[in-house]
Amino acid sequence: MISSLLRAPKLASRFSASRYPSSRIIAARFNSADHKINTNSFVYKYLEEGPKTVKYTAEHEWLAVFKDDTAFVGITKYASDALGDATFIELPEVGVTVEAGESIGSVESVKSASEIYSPVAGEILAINQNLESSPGLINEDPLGEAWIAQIKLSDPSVVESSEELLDVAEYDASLEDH
Amino acid sequence: MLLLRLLAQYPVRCGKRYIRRLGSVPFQDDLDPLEDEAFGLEDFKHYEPTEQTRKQLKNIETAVSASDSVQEHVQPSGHRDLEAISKIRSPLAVVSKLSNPFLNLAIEDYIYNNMPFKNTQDKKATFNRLMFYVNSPCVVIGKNQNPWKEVNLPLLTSLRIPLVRRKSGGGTVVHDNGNVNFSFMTSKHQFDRFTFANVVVDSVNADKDSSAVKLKVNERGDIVTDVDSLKVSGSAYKVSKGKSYHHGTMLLNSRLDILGQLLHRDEEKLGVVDAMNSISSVKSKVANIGLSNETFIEIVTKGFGNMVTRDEELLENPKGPAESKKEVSEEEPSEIDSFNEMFNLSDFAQSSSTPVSTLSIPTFVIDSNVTLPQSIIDEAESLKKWGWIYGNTPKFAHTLTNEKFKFSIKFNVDKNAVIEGFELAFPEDDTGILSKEKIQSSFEYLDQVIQQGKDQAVGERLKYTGSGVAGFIINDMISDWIGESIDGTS
Repeated sequence: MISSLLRAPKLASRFSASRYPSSRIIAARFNSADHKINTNSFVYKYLEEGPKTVKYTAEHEWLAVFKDDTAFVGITKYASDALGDATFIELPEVGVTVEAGESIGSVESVKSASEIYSPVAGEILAINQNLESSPGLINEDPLGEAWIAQIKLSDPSVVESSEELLDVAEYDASLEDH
Repeated sequence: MLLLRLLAQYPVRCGKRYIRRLGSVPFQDDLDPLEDEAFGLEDFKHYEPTEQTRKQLKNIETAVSASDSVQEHVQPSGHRDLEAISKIRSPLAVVSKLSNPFLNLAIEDYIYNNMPFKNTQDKKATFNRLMFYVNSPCVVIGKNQNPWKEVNLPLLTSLRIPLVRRKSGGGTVVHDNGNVNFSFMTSKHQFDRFTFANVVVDSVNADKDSSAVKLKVNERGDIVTDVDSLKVSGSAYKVSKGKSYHHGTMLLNSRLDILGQLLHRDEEKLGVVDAMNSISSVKSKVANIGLSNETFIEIVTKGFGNMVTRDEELLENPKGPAESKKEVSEEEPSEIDSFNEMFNLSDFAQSSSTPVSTLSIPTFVIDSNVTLPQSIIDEAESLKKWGWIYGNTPKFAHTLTNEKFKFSIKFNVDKNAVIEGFELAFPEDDTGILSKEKIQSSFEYLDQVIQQGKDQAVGERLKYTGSGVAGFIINDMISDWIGESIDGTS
């Protein structure tokens, strides 16, 4: 349901509300509970004590960093709701080294092809091949079983120092502006 | 002479192939009687360049000799730097007069990437862009599609119609000279599938002088005819960092009969493709709306201008457009005028009779006089690569059955469109003209090559092409049949 409400971002819909009845203006509500990693998922259980840190980006990706300096990357519930039903997920190649902000794949939904960007620099260690056969996972469990890639961080200190990486409160606040 | 002049206009990498494509309509010269018979396409032979095609060809010639009325819309002596134009901090329309689909997609990408944000800190709004282009006949598949499944590849090969893979999602469309492509670019924040579809529909419906079919937007965001709900436009969308575009085709005077045949596959002849996770096209009945390309471009540019004006008014004065009208009409056009002056831009919106408050949209025309940045040429080259057009296909299987030889072969094709392996199957009552053993042995060499390739890098492995596969099949009859069925090369 939320996906249909999110179709028209606030600004666009305000302009078109009277003229284009297909766009609706309803603000979506999110709270920090929506951004938590699913504790029953493979991501959470990857190492015994769960992720060390979880960060978010303005492009609506999440990053769960573990003690071994690897991190799982995925998209947030906000993003997966906005995309609508995913029909194809393009994944990166294992072994490739990516820069922060570089595209690591895309999600094609009934609405668009949207790029996914890596929040950090590093090497792609693993990809979630389940997404190839079940793209709908990204709508069901974006913060858990629908992780996209596992990355070996080239500089683990960046997780705390980067201004581009938001904590859950900052990410939540950024959504308020939408 | 024409060729030389054109080459001189494109000092950067610009092969003969490009020139040929600019100046030829693939339909007309490339048929032989055999193909007519095989595909029932006698009609193609009589394909005449449409008025539009003739005009385009003429445009190319006259743009070179720089002495035609087209030049009225083209900057005669002004700035022709696409790089500077693409960064203009005001809404902008771009009309490409080039007809090479790879080049047009690359230009679209370039304009999209260079579109500026209104505020560099807060990337929620952009100076929006609207681009138009008309491609010479080609078939365009979506980013995540399987061409073997979606397209009649042997027919494309025999007609020498290029296959193009775009970077946005969605299904397969056919372009020709009677189809205008539009591309509306805005911020990610303002992405909405319906906004621009409505602008197109309202613009066409409001055009009093034309006999165009009345249109509406359906619940999927597709533009269809009002009465019969026939599809006249195919849309695709891309969202990336802070930006988004909605681009689409508009069937004005397309050859719908040819369109249908290019996308029709007879599975008995060409085999069954299990495309697995690829995006499938949704087949729809289509219609032309009957406007001229020029009229469509003009009225939609006007609609874009109206939309921009409305948006600006609401930004200036969120309470309502009425009170802010005056203010906007005084401020904005002057800003735009100075751009026009600076870049010698023509102005479609202004030339039409528009309300006073409508922002006039500067329109930049790209013809062969405009020097294209090297990055556009490079991008066009990479869009032409086999590894993108075919290689970007997700894993699939293709099963071919031959009634004469009484066997079927299933090719398993991996990522990057390299052959993973194949399986032969024979019916119980083996009564083909060749024995099972003979058939099997004719595939031994192919199998060897595929197995050896498994230890190699992707680039070294056997690609799924008709000629590539056929070359390793010992029996000529089988080899020809397989090559023909895969993509018409053997």
